[in-house]
Parts: sequence; structure tokens; C-alpha cells
Amino acid sequence: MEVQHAWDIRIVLDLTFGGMGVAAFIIAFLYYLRGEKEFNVRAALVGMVSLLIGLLILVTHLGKPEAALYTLLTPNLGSVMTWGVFFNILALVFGGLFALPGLVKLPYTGNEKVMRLLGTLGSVFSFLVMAYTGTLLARTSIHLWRTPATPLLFILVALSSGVGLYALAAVAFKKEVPRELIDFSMITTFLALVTTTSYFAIADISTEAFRYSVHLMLSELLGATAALYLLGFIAPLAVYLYNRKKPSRTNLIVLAVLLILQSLLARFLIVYAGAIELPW
Amino acid sequence: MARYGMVIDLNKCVGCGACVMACITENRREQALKAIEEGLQALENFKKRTYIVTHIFGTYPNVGVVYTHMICQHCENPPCVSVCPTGASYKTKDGIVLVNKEKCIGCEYCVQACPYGARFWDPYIRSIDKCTFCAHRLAKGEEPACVTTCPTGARTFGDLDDPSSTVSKLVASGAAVALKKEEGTRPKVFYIFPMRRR
Repeated sequence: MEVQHAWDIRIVLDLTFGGMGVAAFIIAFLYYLRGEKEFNVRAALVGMVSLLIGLLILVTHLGKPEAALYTLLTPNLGSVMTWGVFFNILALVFGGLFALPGLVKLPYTGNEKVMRLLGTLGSVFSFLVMAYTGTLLARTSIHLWRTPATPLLFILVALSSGVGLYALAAVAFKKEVPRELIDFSMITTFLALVTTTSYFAIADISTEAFRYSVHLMLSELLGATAALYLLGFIAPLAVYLYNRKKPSRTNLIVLAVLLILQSLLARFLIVYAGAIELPW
Repeated sequence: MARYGMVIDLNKCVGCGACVMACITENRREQALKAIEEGLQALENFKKRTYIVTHIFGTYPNVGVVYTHMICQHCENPPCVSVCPTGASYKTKDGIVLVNKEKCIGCEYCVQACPYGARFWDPYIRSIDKCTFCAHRLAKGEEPACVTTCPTGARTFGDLDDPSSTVSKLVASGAAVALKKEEGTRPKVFYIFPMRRR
């Protein structure tokens, strides 16, 4: 049995920032459609910046970044990573064009039709990026990752962290965070909790490599597992309930940070617990 | 077109490591020399295209030893090729799985996709590296270096589509089996497992 070493914290950070950024963008666009324009364009920009940070971190992981152009020149269209490259670029282009008026005045700034079109396209590709972050891992020989639960978990934690980032942007720009959005993040948190727990629940009837990965999660990576459950799942639920009784800005900031931490810890745990059973 | 394959008879392997050294000499000589210059740490981390793992089993006095061989399986359905985003990993008409070093971006997705752990990032050539079945030697009509070097003839190489070839006969006999069949990769490296000895 061999623990994977090819992908490290940089991949975790790329997926976390990327997933969080695109989810925040989608949320911002949906609220843009509901009326609040100025702030949501800025929140969308924050999302795109997060996506860009993720991509920059990814580039540092590449052994030969100068050859990355080949993903566009001679793409293998059957590869999930190629899809990811295209989804990321298209999300950045359309999402960036939608969000840039939050920074500079552009000719189409006042044109609602153009803004809606850009936002819609940006949201579609953003969702595809969100789905890609987990599918990338699922399409490998690592049994822990190679399950439909991985893309699902990564979508859920992306949505949680997207709410977190959106809430932080709202606090920074002195705007109200919609109540239903916080409620929504609790649904994603609960579903992420259930999905993560399912890895443990099916371990006994799974392959040797899968069991070994779960064993790692409960031994060498126990700290990360405990942190995910305590800080990523239980603490946000507790802060949410407390905030319902005594709402405050501080509670909201703490909740937002915990939601982002949920995504980081879940991805860290899954990536680092990846193991492969070699036949030698 | 040939469909190259290899049979490794673990009954014949004595674990001398000549195949490993032949492979390094033939394919990774420059990298090995650099690693020697860099020192112990670099040598410890030095990756090989093929290596041997020693398995000792039983309880004294009934003990035995088996040497298993890691090598790229040159799968018919190689997951490393399907995941490569740039097409750097590809399969030749002869069924050999190769890497175009210029196109490789070092994302290591193929490393994660290979169920045999046969691929690695080579910092010296800045590309993914793996066994090539010594494609450059095949082009000259020679067999892979590991095959010609093995003192006991544990490794046999040939055309799996040629019914008269030794590899083809061994595979057809059922004595040589593929590993991790459940992955659906259809490997072209087969193993003859040791007979149980008293």
C-alpha cells in the first residue's frame, strides 16, 4: 500500500480557492438578478480573484509550467483535466467580464442584457469548475477518490465556502447577508457531513486501498479528521444556531471563516488520505 | 504491426537486480550520474523505471522468498493516456505507451491514474518518465535491455499477436497472468507466479 505523494497542499489550495471562488460568483450573480447590482458585481469580482489565486497556486505545482500551453494547442478532450482547463478559462473570461465593472467602468457596464449574458455564461462555467474539482480526483486509480461521493462532497464544500466568501465580502462592503443564504450553507454543511461520514460507513465493504485510506484518516490524519468534524461541521452549525438567538457581525464573520475552513479541511483530508494498492 | 508484451517468470528470478541496473544504464544513465554527484539524498530519491520488491514469507524453517517486478504494464487501455491533458502520454501502433517529454507539463495526473505506480516525475529531464520497453532498441531489432541482461531468462519479450512467439505461447497456456485485471486496463506484461515449494 502506498500513500500518494504526487499531489500536495498546492493542489488542496487550488481546489479550495477555485471551488470557493466560483461558488461565490454564482451566489453573487443570483443576487444580482434579484436586484442588488453594485455590491454583487463586487462580490463576483472577489469570487473571480479567488479563482485566479487558485489557478496561480496550481501553476506553481506544475513541474513544467511553460509547457502548459499544450493543454490548448494539443488538448486531449477525453481528459478531465482538459475539461477543467477550458472550464476555468471560460469561467474566468465570462465571469471576469461580468465582474470587472466592479473595478473599472467598461462600455457595457450599464447594458443589462450584456451583463446578464456574461453572468449566466460565467455561472454555467463556474458550476462546471465546481463539479470538476471533485471529478478530477474521482478519475484516478486511488480508490478513496474514485467514488461518486468525491465530486458531490467537493460541490457541497465549495458551496459552503462560497457562502463564506460572499458573507465576508458583504461584511467588508457593509452589506446585509441574506438570511436564506446562511440557511442554505447549513444545508450544504449537513450534506457534506453526511457525505464525509459515508466514506467511513462503507469502508468495511470496500477495497483494501479504500480501507487503508480510511485507516489513515483515523490514525495519522486523525487531527485533520477531528478538525474537519469539529471546526468544519459542528462549529458552523453551533455558531449558526447561536447567531439565530443573538445575531451579530462577529458571529457572521466566525461562521464565514468556519465555512471556508470546512472546504479546506475536507479537501486536505481527502487528498492526503489517498492511497493506492500496488501489486508488487 | 506487432503487439509487444512481456512475460516475467518469478520462478526464475533470483533478485540480482541486473534488469534494474541494465535499465538505468540504457535509459537513465545521465540522471543517475547527476544523482551520484548530488549525494546520498538524491540517490535515495532516485526513481527507477523498473524495480524489484523482495517478499519473504513463511515461518522458520519453512520460509521462502519471491521477487516481484514493477514495470509499466503497457496497457491496452492505459488510464495514463486517457487522463493526460496535453496528449503527452500516448500509445504507439505497436501498443507501447510512451511520453512526449516536450508536451509533458508535470501535472502528475497520469501518476495518479496508473494503478501500477509505474510512472514518476523526473526532475532531471523535467518530464514524467517510465518504461518504454526500450523502444529505441526495438527500432534496431534488439530486445529491451532488461530482457537481454537477465542471467536466468526470467523476462521474455515478444509479439503477443504472433502465435509462435514465446510470450504468446506462455500467455495462451494460462501460466502467465496479468495483474489488477479488475481495473480494466488490459496489461501487456504478464507474470508467472512461483510454484509452492516445500
